[in-house]
Amino acid sequence: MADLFDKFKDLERDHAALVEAAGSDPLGIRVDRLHSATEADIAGRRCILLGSNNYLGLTFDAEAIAAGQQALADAGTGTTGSRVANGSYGGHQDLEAQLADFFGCPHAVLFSTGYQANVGVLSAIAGADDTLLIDSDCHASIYDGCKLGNATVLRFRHNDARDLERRLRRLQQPERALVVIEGIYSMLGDRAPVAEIAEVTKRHGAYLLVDEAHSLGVLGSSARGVAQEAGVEDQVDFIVGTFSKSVGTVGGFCVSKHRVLEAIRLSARAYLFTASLPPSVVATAASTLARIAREPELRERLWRNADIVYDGLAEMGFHLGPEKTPVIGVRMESMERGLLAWQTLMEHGIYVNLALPPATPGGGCLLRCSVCAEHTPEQLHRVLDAFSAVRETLAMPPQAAE
Amino acid sequence: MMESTDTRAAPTYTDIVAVVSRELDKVNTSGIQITETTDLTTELNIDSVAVMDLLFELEEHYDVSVPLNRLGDVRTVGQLAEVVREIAATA
Repeated sequence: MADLFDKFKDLERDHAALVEAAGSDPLGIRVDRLHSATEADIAGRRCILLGSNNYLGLTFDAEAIAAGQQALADAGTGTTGSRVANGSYGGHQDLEAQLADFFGCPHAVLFSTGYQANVGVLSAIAGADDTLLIDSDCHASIYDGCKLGNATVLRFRHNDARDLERRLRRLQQPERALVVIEGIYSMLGDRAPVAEIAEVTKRHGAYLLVDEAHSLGVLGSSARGVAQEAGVEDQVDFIVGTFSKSVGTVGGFCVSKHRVLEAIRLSARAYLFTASLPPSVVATAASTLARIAREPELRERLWRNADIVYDGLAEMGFHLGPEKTPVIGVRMESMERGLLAWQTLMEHGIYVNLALPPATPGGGCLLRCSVCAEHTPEQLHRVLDAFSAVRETLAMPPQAAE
Repeated sequence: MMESTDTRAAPTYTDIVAVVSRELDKVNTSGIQITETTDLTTELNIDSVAVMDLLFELEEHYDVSVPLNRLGDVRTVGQLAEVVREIAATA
């Protein structure tokens, strides 16, 4: 007879094999000490962080730290309550107003994480008679939000507006459908063709939600994300985002032009049945969001650094994601070669994310790099030197793609 | 892309099993013979994402949309074919 725990046997076996092959656990990295937004001690070695999602390097922003410390002193370590009970402080409401202003939308709702923002909004907005159409490469939080609700869930081919249109055309009530995409996809760093997707969505009378998790602070004339960059914000009904990337802390949000977002606040279980963000986190997010709004130089530095890393890796013959953005996915042809490359980078003091199937598009192994505005030219030089060592370790021929 | 067949008439269960088997053969590294009782994930060593990608091919072939919600109880090739048949019959 199968036991309750039997289902974990394959997972445990696969993980043990991964740890043995890697010589340590790539999924259980311990960061011992942070030196800055871009350097930390990992496994007894000082490493350059090239897999942090900390695109603007604001985790050590002096004003944000001071604001967080002040909030800790003034309001304590946590709210110990839901936003609909005792957990709605002035800071939470002020940050919602700040987000609304930042995005030029009348309505904004905070969640305790970006994951909860997607799960909360999607499960609340789509009922039994509605349809969610999601891009196939969407994040797990979007899949989980779909699973928690009762809507019909359809998946369309990644970044394929024509496939989306075929599916919208088959619906009897497209006006009861919500299309869900991301701004920059987290594994390969490619942008959504948001103008095409918005055009198709609106032509069929459906609604559009864009998760700007990796594009907030990165794209657009005032850093709002891919919809602003494409000039189609007026066609987007909901924007979801997170504070755990460019904003440099933790938390999630949804903004909208629709008043219905206030009703979602009263029905999203991931909003109702969890504690609100600690006051210190709210204060740091407010501080860094303000800095993102007033300092476009941060983005300019980020993109200059993305150019250096992407172009450098492409010149070396690595097989990269299709577009140059601060998320750079380096494709590895096998798990063994991916692990070897990851170990080599660690030995050279470079930390990148090791991304494994099924989290990766196409089921391959990826070295997922994320560039930071605070990376110095010297650090990026070391990064490229380390990748050059990877080329030698993998015995890649000159200019040959991995 | 799959070979073109006449998709104007509602497909039969047997037709769909044949198409599913043919598509699975492209990614089947287990060496086992695929039949309607083959378990998609435990016997073929493919993950849930590969099953969802297989669905893209079936959806295009039969011009239908198969909701992810309908895959929850699907274990075998035959069960998947039956879900596609039911949806194609009402499309």
